[in-house]
Amino acid sequence: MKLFPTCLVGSYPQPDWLIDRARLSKMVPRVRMDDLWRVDPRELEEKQDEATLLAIRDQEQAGLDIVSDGEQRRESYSNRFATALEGVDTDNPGTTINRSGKPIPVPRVTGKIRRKYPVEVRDMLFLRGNTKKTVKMTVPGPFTMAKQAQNEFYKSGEAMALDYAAALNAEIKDLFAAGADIVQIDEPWMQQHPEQARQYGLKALDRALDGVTGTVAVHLCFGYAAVVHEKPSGYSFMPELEGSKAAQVSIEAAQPRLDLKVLEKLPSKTIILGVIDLADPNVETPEIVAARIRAALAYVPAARIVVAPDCGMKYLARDVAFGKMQAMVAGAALVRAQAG
Amino acid sequence: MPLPLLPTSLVGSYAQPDWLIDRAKLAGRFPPRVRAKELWRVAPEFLDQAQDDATLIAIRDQERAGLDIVTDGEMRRESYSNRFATALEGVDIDNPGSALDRSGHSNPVPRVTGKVRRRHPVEVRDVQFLRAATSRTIKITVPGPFTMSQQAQNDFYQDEQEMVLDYAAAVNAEIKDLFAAGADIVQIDEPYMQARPDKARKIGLKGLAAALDGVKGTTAIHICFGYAAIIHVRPEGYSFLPELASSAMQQVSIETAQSKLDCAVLEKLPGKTIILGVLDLSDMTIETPETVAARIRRALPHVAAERIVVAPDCGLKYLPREVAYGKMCAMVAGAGIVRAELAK
Repeated sequence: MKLFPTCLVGSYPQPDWLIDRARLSKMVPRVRMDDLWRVDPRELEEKQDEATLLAIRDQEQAGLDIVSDGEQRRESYSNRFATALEGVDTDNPGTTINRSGKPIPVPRVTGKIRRKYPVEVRDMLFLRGNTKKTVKMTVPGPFTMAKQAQNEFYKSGEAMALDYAAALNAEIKDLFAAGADIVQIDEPWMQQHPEQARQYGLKALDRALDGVTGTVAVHLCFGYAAVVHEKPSGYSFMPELEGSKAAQVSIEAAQPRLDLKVLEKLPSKTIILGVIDLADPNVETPEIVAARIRAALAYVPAARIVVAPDCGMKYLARDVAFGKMQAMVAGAALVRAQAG
Repeated sequence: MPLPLLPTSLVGSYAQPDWLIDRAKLAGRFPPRVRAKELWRVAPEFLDQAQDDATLIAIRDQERAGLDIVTDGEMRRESYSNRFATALEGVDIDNPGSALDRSGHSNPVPRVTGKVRRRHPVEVRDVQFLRAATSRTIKITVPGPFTMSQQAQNDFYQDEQEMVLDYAAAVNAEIKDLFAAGADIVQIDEPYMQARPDKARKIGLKGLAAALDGVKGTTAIHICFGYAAIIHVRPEGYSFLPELASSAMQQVSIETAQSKLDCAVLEKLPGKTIILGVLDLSDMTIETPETVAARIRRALPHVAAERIVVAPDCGLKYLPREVAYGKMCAMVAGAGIVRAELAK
């Protein structure tokens, strides 16, 4: 692949005809929220497929090198997988405190967590069947899922996270078998709970990657710009990932104006570098994108950089998201031209 | 982008997706002449966005298949004609009349109760959307004045010719706006000229001339035997076609695949580019590129290759999308075979 390949973190805006976007952006669902969909349940899969096709074509049209399914079928990045597991009661949810400090309904863990069946394999096959580009699929991480649940069964958070990891491990292997080029594990809550992430999050991550041979990424962030407004300028958890088996680390750098020196602490990792500020509805110029990429070059060699937005684009207006993708591609091309 | 020899194009419509419109109901009735809003499967407040999204997918499918000339796939239309025909002044669609369809069956149609006038541009946004979404050569279709007059119940005009000419004036204003909005080619769909040749000669040609009056861009006309999905029997020859030789449009779109048309008739259109129908839309089997190539070769003794655009017989509206896509790919590959032969 060429230098500075471009990709999404995962999600792309969903159409209004598919889902109630106004309600969607009010909260990030951890249990199911079936009533967000604006479509007859019998037609839901077909319409989600069509939205996915559209998300794929938009990414191709904008010129991205790595394409995702845009997570069109998901109410949130994590709940499609997390609510499909055995041992989890989503009908009688529990409560946890989210990263904004508010109580939210979450799955209640009432038994041993097991994967009942492949959850995203059909999504993967659809993506693989509809584009020739390199494809990436995201799954929620075991630590994040464990933190987004109310534990009423396991003796420890660690034991629970390890069972989430086992479920995820089976899913990741199935996704690669179904044609994924890259599987990304979304672990935003590692940033929010760095102590516990160090205690057992890394162990769970390794368990999720046990025996996995494909290219794996981990995404860390400070929360959706649409939901979380105050962002620190540094990660409380990140260098720890250097020891993990994941080959790529996805971080946000644009909105928090991250001090990129920290990337020196991930010398073996490819950095999926966030260069699109999702709190800003204005589309970046290619020059701004290029400047953000160049800022990282002091600490990471060009060959280890993938150019991406800070986080998922789920909550952006679609025309803004499309414009930002185009700017990202143009900005990457500017830096590539100089590097080449 | 300059067009290659034997450029490929749709006639107009592409398969509408099931999630957008009830395809079973659409196929189980005559093409709507008045509105058929109940066919849409998306809530009215989100319909524009859904139609735009379906249009984007239609555009991308054409691009991926490799078509040189791209249309909007007519995703926003219940039929090729009713989006424009029902937007006009002088036309009552709430209390429709009836008219015989080309099959001889009665179909509800707009009732003309006053002077027909265009109130506002109808398809200009569609062209702007298409223009913004693709860098390829683009074509948009409008229903022809004669066909619209035959798909209406005349309760106002004393003289049918006068009605045709008023429809033509509305189309003329629309065509000029469509070119101003960025259309490279505007195609007038006049299937009823074939269905009613005597009347077409009497009052249709004058309407066509009026519709094209003062128009500068490249225009085409499409004449056919009706949708394969609806009209099953086909004659082997057109009863109306050489008459178009003296019309102002540059291109004539005809079907040859399903009808196995004797292409000798094309010699009677010496000045025209022929949009040559080479995909049989009654057959859900995807043609091989070789079959497509053979159909193109049939025309070559009668039309110079420089005057051929390769296309399906008619709109792909009623085909399953995967079949429509496969047929487009076969068409592009077939055109490629003949292009390579001619380059030798």
